[in-house]
Amino acid sequence: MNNLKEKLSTLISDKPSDWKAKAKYRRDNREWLKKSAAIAVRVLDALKAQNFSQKDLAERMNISPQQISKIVKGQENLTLETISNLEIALGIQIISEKTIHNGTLLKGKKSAA
Amino acid sequence: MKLVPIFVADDSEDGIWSIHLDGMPQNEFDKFFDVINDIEWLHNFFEQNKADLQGGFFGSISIGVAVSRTLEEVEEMENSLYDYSEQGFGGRDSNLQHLFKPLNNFEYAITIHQKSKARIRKGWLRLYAIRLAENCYLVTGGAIKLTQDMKRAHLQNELKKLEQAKLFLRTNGIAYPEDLNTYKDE
Repeated sequence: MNNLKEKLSTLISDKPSDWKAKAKYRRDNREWLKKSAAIAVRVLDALKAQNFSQKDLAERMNISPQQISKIVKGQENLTLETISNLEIALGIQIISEKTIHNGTLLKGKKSAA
Repeated sequence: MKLVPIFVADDSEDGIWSIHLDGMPQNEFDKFFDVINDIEWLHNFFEQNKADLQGGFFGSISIGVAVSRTLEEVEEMENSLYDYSEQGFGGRDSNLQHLFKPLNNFEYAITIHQKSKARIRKGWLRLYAIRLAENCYLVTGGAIKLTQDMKRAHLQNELKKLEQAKLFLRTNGIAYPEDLNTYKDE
């Protein structure tokens, strides 16, 4: 072992890094995490505009504040049901039918016809 | 203060280390990538720094666009680091100097124990570090830099941590050249 590495090794913390596992998770799940992030921004914007707390939203949706926390951190793999409930609770549209019709679903149908 | 190896070569001194400040739950490298991937944290940061965000240096940008831009930058930065950690330091392009540049924009020579930063082209994300050897960096933190100078409190805090880390290294027998203290930080 060289001198610098030897010196650095004597100063090591007892808590190792878990960055690599997290970075791999983010890399492997990048596509849905991006969509989750976009939804989190929409929710945070709506909360601010309506002067509404995360706790208020949790109560209105009848879910735990911890679940709301995961949603606004952009880490939650949301179901269509949860997205619809967010839309109702906040009075906003997150996914419109137009987006779906103009997107891959309709294009897929056309090419298959 | 303690040190944490983030990824270090088996057969050489090449690699990235991070400082772990006393009383903090995690090291500064892990903390940076956790908060910068946290949408709520980013949203709060841009709300608190709205004047700088919409003040003209980067043009006038909405918070939604700012979050999305940050995520694109961190993806690129994190992918580069992940690739280094997977592929090792043997290849021609596997040199951390491709990612880390001197902290001072007017400083062209790369020297030992130099205060350094990693950034993605003209982006606003910074990973701050001290260069310990040719291909060995000690990360002291990271930030979103929306202003041309380092006057904002969160950036001053990053400069403070760079200084703390240098003092720690010197105290523990890993000396650095005194003349580096005189550089203007940008």
